[in-house]
Amino acid sequence: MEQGKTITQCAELLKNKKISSVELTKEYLKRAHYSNKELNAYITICDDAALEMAAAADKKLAEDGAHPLCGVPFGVKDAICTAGIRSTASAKILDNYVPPFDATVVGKIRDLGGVIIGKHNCDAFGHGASNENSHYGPVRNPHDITKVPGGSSGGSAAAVAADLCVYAIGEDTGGSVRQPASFCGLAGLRPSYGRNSRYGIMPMASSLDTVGPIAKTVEDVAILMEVMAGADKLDSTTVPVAVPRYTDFLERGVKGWKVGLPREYFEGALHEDVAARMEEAKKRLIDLGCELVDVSLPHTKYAVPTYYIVVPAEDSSNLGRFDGMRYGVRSSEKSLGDAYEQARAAGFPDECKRRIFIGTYVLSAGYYDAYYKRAQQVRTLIIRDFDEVFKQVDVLLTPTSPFPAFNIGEKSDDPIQMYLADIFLSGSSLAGVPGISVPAGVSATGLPIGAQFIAPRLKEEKVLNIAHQFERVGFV
Amino acid sequence: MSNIDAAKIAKLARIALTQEEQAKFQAQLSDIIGFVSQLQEVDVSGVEPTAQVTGLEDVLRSDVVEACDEDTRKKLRAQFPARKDDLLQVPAVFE
Repeated sequence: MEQGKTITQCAELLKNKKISSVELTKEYLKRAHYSNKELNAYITICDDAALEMAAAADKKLAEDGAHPLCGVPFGVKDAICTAGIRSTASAKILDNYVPPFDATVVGKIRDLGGVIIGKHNCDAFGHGASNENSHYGPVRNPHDITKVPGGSSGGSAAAVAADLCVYAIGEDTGGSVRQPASFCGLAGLRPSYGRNSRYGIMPMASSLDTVGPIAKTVEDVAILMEVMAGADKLDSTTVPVAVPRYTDFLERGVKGWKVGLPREYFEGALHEDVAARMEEAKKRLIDLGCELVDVSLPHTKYAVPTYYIVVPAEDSSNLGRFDGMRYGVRSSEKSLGDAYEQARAAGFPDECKRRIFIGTYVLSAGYYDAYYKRAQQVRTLIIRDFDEVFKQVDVLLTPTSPFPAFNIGEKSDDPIQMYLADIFLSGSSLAGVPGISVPAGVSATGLPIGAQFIAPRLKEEKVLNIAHQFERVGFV
Repeated sequence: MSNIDAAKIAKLARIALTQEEQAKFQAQLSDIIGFVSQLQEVDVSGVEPTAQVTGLEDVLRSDVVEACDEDTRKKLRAQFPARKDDLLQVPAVFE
């Protein structure tokens, strides 16, 4: 599949007046409308708002010193609030919701002249790994429309891969940026917990939620992270740590870096093409002068079960606010209790309900210690595993997913199989460390396969550096 | 331990279920609880639980009201599912 335009290419065209932002935006709006019939990547395409933003961007571009993101069209996951543009989180309970404010990360990009062309379909409230848990229908993978694009930020990945926008802003709680990036052949970063503000993100699991970019190149991801990262007084979990100039790190050599291969991530049932691409990935790293080190994260097998206690528990609390009373879609029932029950029954897809139910159960009196507290203790052990290996190595290399994109409908009736799709993503998510998925080749049938680099907390520059070098030798 | 009662949980979570849905969720929830129960085999004695990973503690802000402009107020009110003048209208709490 032909790779579309990158941020750096668009910035160059805009700067040299080869094209205006309005022209570029019109081109992308046309592409988005045309391909959406097949891919279903957008829930909302906001033509008028986009053209207004583009016209404003063109004014900025006429002056010197415009930012590379100025005038460049992008899309936003629908679980992220955009001022004046409908934001449904892919659930009917918010079908009519128009936020009066931007999420902090979106506002930062808009302030620089970024142009939102639409809102991306996703698994409702970020619940899923296939984008099938959406009230607005499944998204199709542009590499093969019988396959899922991954999830939960599946519409975002499909839209970027099909070049229906230049880049996308997604949300990653347990792999929701990285896994769809790998299924669609893109670069996707989950930042460290606390690195980027979550203000204006529909909350899912507050102790894990992060906001991250999906783009066509690692360089684009680095440009976006420079803008998105940083403390925000509206999100008290953001850390007051200076944001590095990530793009300055990309060209540095990685000779002598120790790259850990956690054996638990390679010994399971890997799809044969994933295993083959990972062997090639290791060779690429050796060519770059890295030293491969066999390491162990002994609690890996407990990451998914820990995740599916902690996350539903926090989900059930966070989703308690959605009842159709103050905003969203209200039930017409006369009694208050019935109105809550019917609005929530009609407004949440099944996976949201399952998580609310599991969360309600594990937090209920008599079960809290056995489930939630125990999961928090195992979480501590998982964090210690990462702390230990990062005493030995600079970064870790793992497959992003055990398999390439699967068929639409293949796992949708089996929640546990769906949960296990994130087996290589849950551990780092619980530990709060950054991870990036980058393309590592394709399967025998041409489906993209991703490799993941994981670094210690707040060391985004390390994964961006090695992923950029890895990406470059891949194209030689 | 995985004696989850879908009907009771759904009631607590304020989500109405049909008979058919109740049966489906009952089976799925039992499977999920069975799956996550493998954590029971981990030795967690003396291990502190992790509630958050930032290391930040007691993040405070000054206790001052921040103004909200009329335009934002208007947009917020526009989201009300039912209203009477500028007030949010809800079903009666007591009948």
